[in-house]
Amino acid sequence: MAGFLSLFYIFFSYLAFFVLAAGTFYLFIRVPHAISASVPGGPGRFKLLVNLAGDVLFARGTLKNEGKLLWFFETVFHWAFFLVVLRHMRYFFYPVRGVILGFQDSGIIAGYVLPVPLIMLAAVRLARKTPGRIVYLLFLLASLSGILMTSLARPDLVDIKAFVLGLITLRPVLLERADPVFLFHFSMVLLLLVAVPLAMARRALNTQEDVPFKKPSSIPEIAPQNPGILEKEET
Amino acid sequence: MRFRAMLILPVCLLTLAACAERVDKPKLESRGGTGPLAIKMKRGTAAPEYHFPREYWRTHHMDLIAKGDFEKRECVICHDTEASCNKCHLYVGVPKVCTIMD
Repeated sequence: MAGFLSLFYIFFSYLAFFVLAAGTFYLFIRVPHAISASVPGGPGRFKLLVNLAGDVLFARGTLKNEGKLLWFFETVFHWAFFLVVLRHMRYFFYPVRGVILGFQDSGIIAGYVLPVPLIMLAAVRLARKTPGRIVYLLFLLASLSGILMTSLARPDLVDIKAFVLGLITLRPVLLERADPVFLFHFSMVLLLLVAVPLAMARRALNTQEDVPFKKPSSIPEIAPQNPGILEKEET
Repeated sequence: MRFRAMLILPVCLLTLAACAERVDKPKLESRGGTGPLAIKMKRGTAAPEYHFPREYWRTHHMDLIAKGDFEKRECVICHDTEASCNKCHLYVGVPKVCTIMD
């Protein structure tokens, strides 16, 4: 059973990475002005980097569009998630560097904090029916299953690290034991890898937030002042 | 704007793939463990009855120590920290077990 599940997850891990890479490439092709700084009249390279940092570190877009309360939760979410990702770096490297070891305790605390802003953000997004709300739900489920593994249902870390390192080094190994909580957590992460680029692409193409000029999709019809003239010309 | 940051994700994953070092996972030598992380136990070391199932001890020993049911000094009666405990501890990135117990 563990062998079959391992093969299933190995396949879907690579598929998820392919979707992530393809989604990014699609964005790059379809919305090049949002990525390139060389567009005439677009923001300069430095300003682009500053905007990007402001958006990632301080959720600048949320502050502008959705108010201070949501901005606060979004910022907490971004920082907590950053620390949690740093903690997870220990699964991707051998030997584990001292820098990564230094973030283990703060990563645990951030892991316990993470669901709070996620619950708030998911609730607001669900209530407003804004696009991309599924991403917050996936984040929430991944976060809760992560806490469960840290506190109660401890998985075999050696087995998991061997599995993850095998995936990264393109020499996959099978899991010895199919731990249900870990597999659920891992499934949520894989779904996030797929859902994030799709949600971003949808948002970018729908809202065109970075487009300096948007061509109208349809030209409104204007009733002619004197329709009789047109009819005469046609005849 | 935000989706520009998404470019970082695949780049990070590819970087990880380039930097990652492949090593055999820690495993008992007697059960086919090879490489620098193979775990060595003294010949003839028999696990006591309370040490079963071994999987439970592998994943929950830290809780038992934290609760005070066991002490580290009891572990090192049978486990050589360098040849046994720290192979896994180093592999998964948790603090090393010191030989001198406080």
